Parts: sequence; structure tokens; C-alpha cells
Amino acid sequence: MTLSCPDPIVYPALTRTDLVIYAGASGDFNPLHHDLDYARNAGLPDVMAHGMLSAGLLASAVTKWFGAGSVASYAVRFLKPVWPGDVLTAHCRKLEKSSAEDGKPVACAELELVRANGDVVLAGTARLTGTAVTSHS
Amino acid sequence: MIAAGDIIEEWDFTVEPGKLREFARAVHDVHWRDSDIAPPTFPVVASADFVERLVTSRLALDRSRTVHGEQRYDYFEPLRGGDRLRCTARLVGEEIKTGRRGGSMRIITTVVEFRSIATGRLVCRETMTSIEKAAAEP
Repeated sequence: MTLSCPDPIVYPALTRTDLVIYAGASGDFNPLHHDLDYARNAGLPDVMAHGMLSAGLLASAVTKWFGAGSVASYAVRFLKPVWPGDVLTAHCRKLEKSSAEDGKPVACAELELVRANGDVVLAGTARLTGTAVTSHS
Repeated sequence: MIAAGDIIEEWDFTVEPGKLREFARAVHDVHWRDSDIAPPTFPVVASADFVERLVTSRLALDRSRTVHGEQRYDYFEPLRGGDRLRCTARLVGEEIKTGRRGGSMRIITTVVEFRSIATGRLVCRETMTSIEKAAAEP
């Protein structure tokens, strides 16, 4: 059974400061994400956002839509690099109620994080359990 | 040489509430104000040092041509501030493929299991796929 998808969530334009905040919070100090000289020497136009920053933003949309304790699995594929200045929008493209596990309702959400120019930068799926599923039916 | 299936590293990690808030803010998670449940991708914090060592020394990947391919989390119990975890990292796959323009490309998959020290139960499993692209023609 297909359930109705929640509304997209738009995040503010990414700044280099956001990348530094994420570097500090996550402990990922790969210089490609904060050292402009290093990034340019590697052939990049700018410092590149951490893939896991994008994954974290999309995951935050999932918990906002469905609740913090509802996520049974979350998987993402990194499709395009993300840069400072990008405005990213989290979309739930499909929400499908699937088989029940232990009598609890389960749903699968198809997710995308999309740049303002239409690029899908991150594609993901989340398996959801509990009240998150029933409240959207 | 590390073979697939080998335990690469084991370490302990405490989910510090302050770190949880810092991470939640960095990913615009709105729940940390009224819940102590960790954001879904928070376990990345517990594996950051391991990933750094894996990339720079254990597998010695060329970081300037290594990209993150996929990331997956399976959750078995909510992860909360104050939890203490035993973390076990395994290499589960290393594949070498010929790139589109020749040269060899490495695809590396690692799994980190996070187990509660208090209960011994599996809390979360993190699966990461990294790709070291073929070196450019000289």
C-alpha cells in the first residue's frame, strides 16, 4: 500500500563554515573538505562537502518526518559532489507500507537529496517501523 | 595484508551527550532538544578515527581520488547519550576492477558493528563502501 509522502524540506545554502562545523562534529578531517589549496591541487573547483554531511541532512529530514526512534535502516548512495553555495532539498519520493515484522507495521521510504539545479546528489532508502508508519496512512 | 572478513580494529566509544548535540546541530537534526536519541548517522563519529587510519595507512588509498560510494546503517536498538559501545570493524570486501579509461579501481567495503557494553546486544551496524578511482594517465 502506498502512503502519502511528507512535504520536502529545504536546507539553507551550504557554507564553508557548515563544512567546518561538520568536520569538527564528525571528526572527519579529510583536507578535501576544508583546505582550499589541497582541494584545488586535487583538481576540485572548491572544497567539497562531506558525503556524510549530505547523508546526515537527509537523515535529519527522515527523523523530522517520521520521528527519531522510527528508523530501522538507512542507506544512501553518493551520486554527485556537493559544494558550498548549494541549496539542498530533502524529498520523500515514495512511501510504501510493506510486510509487518513482529506484528509492527513497516514502511519503506525512497529518498532523494536534490540540488537547486535538479541534480540528485544523494539517493537513499529508509525502513521505518512503529507509529511513524500508521500516522502517515 | 588484510583479507576479507578479518577484524581490522576493535575499540570502545562513549556517546557523549555534548558530542551528540554538536553533531545534531551540524546535520540540522531537530530532535536533540527533546530527545536523547542519536541522529541516524551519528555512528560515523565513532568510526571516524578508524576510517582515517584505514584510508591513510592500513589500505594506503590515494585520498585525492578516493570517493565515498555508499553508506548503510541497520539499527537494532536506539542509540542514546551516555551509551558505551564496543566497536568492531571488519573488511568485508576488496574488489579491483578495470576503470573505464584503463587503470585499476579499488572498491572497499567495511562493516563496523556497535555493541552495547552494558547489555552485549548489537545496537547498530554500519556498512561503508569507498572507491579509489583509477589514477589519471601521466
